[in-house]
Amino acid sequence: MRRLFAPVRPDALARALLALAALCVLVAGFQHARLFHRGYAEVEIIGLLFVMNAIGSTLVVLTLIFERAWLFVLGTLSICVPSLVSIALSHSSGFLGFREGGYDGDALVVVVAEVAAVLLALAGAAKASSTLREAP
Amino acid sequence: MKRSALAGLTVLFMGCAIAGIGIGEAPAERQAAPAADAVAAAKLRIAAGGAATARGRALFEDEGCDNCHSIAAIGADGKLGPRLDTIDDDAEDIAESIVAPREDIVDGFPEKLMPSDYGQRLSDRQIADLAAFVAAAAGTEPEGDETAGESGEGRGRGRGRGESPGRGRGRGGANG
Repeated sequence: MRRLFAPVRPDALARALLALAALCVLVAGFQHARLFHRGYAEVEIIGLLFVMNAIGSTLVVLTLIFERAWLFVLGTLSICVPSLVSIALSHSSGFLGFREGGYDGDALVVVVAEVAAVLLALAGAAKASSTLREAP
Repeated sequence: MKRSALAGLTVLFMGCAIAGIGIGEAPAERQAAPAADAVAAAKLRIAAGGAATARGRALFEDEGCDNCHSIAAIGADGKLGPRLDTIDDDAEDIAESIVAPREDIVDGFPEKLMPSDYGQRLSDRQIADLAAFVAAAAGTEPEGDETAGESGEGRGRGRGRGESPGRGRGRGGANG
């Protein structure tokens, strides 16, 4: 648990992978904020979840900026995986009573960004775990 | 300092997005809401409507149509799709739009958002009921036509019909 909050500075490749993951998290969070104001605000519960996604994404990116790499990886997975599951549900059986018909450009941006964020964060974590050294 | 600046920029950028600064508005917000007297008239039409209209209203809410569409007379304030109380389509065209929502998209609205499986999920009568309710809300239902939905065969579902100029999800809604 202490390791989760400790500042760490992995090697350059791991840092690059995690930075790209952070960019993807930011894109997905921005899209959620944008979609909230483009009509999802009126959808019960879902609208609130969109705002929480945007706020959570911001906080997660801040953890990486302040070198809490493990917290960043955990945060990325905690936001992006449930979000992707929710999107998949809303496009099939429904999520919290809300159904969507297909993937428009906005939805595709979110899906691609979140899938990329998860993969890049996992790759960065794998690379970092072998070479990680604690920051001075 | 560099790290703090990056953090500050991130918070500023996302803060603006979350506050809606520079994001724009929902397409439905560009559609004029009906005037107060039109809303009052729609309430009367819905209240005076037959069983089909009542069932249609219940379906409209149960199916979550109000998440995306606005009908002021019942307090529906969805903004993902076009508002439905200012359209000029009749019940038949509305039924077609429920079954085939991607045939004619109102400018500015997402093309694939509305599920296209209502033709499979709902019965003919349910679709006719929904169409009767929306037509009553919009004031496009001819007087004395409320019983057509009772038989379940009274409204077309787009089968065998050609392209109609009046067809579409809320066509005309932008005109207020």
